[in-house]
Amino acid sequence: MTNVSGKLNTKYISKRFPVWTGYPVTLILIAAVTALLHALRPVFPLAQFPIPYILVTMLVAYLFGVGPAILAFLVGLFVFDYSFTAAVYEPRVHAVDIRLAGITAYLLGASIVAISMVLISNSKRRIECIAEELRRSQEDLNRAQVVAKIGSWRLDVQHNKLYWSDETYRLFGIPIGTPLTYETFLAKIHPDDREYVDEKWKAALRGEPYDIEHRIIVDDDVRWVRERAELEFGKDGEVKSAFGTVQDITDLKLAEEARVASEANYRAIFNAANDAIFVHDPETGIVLDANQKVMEMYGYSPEEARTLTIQDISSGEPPYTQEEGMQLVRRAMQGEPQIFEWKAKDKNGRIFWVEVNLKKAIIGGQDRVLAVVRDITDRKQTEEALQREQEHKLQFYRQTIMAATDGKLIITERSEIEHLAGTSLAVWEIHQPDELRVIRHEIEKVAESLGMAQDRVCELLVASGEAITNAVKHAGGGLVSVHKTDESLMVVVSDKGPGIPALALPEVALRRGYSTTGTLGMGYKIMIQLMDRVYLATDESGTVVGLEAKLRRSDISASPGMNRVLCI
Amino acid sequence: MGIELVEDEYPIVHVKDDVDLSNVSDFDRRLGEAAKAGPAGFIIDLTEGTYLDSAGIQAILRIWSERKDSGIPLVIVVGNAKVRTVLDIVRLDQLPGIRMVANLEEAKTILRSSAPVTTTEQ
Repeated sequence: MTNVSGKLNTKYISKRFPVWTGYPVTLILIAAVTALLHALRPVFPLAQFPIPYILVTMLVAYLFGVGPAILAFLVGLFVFDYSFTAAVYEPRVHAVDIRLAGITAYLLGASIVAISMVLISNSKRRIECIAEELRRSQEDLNRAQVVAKIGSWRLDVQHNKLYWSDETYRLFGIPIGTPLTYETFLAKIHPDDREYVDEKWKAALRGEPYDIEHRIIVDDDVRWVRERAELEFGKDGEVKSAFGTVQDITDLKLAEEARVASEANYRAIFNAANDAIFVHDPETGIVLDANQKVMEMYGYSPEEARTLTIQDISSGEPPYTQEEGMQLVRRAMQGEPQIFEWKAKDKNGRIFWVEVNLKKAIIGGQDRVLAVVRDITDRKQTEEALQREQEHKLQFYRQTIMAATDGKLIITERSEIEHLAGTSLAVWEIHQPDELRVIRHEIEKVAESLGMAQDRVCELLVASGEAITNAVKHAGGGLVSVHKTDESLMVVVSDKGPGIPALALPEVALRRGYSTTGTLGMGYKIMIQLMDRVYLATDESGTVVGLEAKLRRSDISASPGMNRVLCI
Repeated sequence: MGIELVEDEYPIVHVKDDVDLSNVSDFDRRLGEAAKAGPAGFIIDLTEGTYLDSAGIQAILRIWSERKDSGIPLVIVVGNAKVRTVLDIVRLDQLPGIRMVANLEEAKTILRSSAPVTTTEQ
């Protein structure tokens, strides 16, 4: 046996001869024994005893089993009786006594044989069972070793022999059955690990635990194995035997190396990011991890950051609170990425603007919310500066436009126009161009009922027509209302169109000459010329135009060169 | 129908209605037809027109800009004060080649006196 799992000795599990062969063999044996005893009779008086037949019965029982044994017993009894006991006729002894004694001896002998055969048979069966079990268990072990990529070995110190399982041979890339020594084993170890393994083995021989991982070279490939061993020591501390396992952990090692590399990459990216990154617990919002940039932006070291709440890093003034933050976290957890601006607070209490991108992520198999945070203080300042500049510009335009139109065109707010207009006398909705005429007619009726001079009514209708046309043309319709103020009538036209951009206002209000591309400028020119005041509020949510016409024209307000309507 | 093309000595676009966003495309089309039918000139008759807004003025300006190099004046007959006011505000009569007159006869006289090729500025 060169290895633990080598083929078992087959002598205990040899198959029986087929039972039927036992019967002819029995008869042949009996015949042969009888012939032999007859031949030996003159010189070998013991042949008269039944022992040879009992021996034949034993042999047949052993070789063929119970059936042939019974046959051997009966035939043996018959042949013994008639061939030998019947023929014996000594004058000294009564023939019947001798015959009785012979048969009695035969029966006693056969009984002993039967008992001993049953015992032998039982023990034989047991040995066979044990051997079969052992064989199966060996097979299972072998299969298990192959599946688990675990080999085993045994060191017999007394006989200085090293036994390897088949799988151990395979793991080391050595043909199964190759004679082994400790040196054979060392030679397969990666040169860089050889010394380490040798030291560890020697330490194990001194009683230290042996559980090591090292590389081996198999067909020019580097593979990783884990080795464990249990050593049995004698009374004097000498090693008596050792049993060990070898496990192929190459895949584990590669996976581990990949994981470590990936973790390192992730960390590197995490820390190199230009944005601060927080990993939040989705349930509590507590920060579980933070990158280096957090230190720069918030003043917290990644370690300090690891217990912060959303409250700790928010300004705290609504809506920049823990509750609001948690709502955003929950929305992000539902798979809706959240991008928003947030008023943040650093370790020293400084408030600053950030843009946050919240996303659900699975980190280390756990649900997390990732917050990528960018400092937008600069952007906010630029935006605010731009807004201020826009407001200044708009203010400048307002004043310029007012001055250039003798105070007749006033750029203002929607609420201001509503306030000036007060309650309405009538309101109409308009959507289609063919409704224009009807509404002009309605306005005319209201104006006349309030006693407005005929020429003013005409002017009001022309100006209103322009304002309403703009609403229909540029906003698909709007609301027209008529209001009465102290001495005047006011028509307010509001729409939900795209509004007039601030920069286009001077063009609309002040352009001189003629444009063949748009009626907006011309329409306003007409409104400004005919009305006492034109109020304009416009933004991206819509435009409101208020046309104010005194019920009677005051001559003082008339500008030189103004054309007036004479209605006929 | 409030806007018609009348065949006379010169084609006449006869407006008997309000001209606003609802029918300005008709007005525009009639002007184009008149310009085609009257190489020696045509008349826009707003005598019976009751209302003309900036959209209508745009239509007149468009046809004027197409024909301004022909040397034939664009003659507009204006009667209604509302219409007159609007035309005055945008100073249409200040444009070269536009003539505003009070009646049809006057308009025809102007066209007759203007040679088809030579430029007649007011």
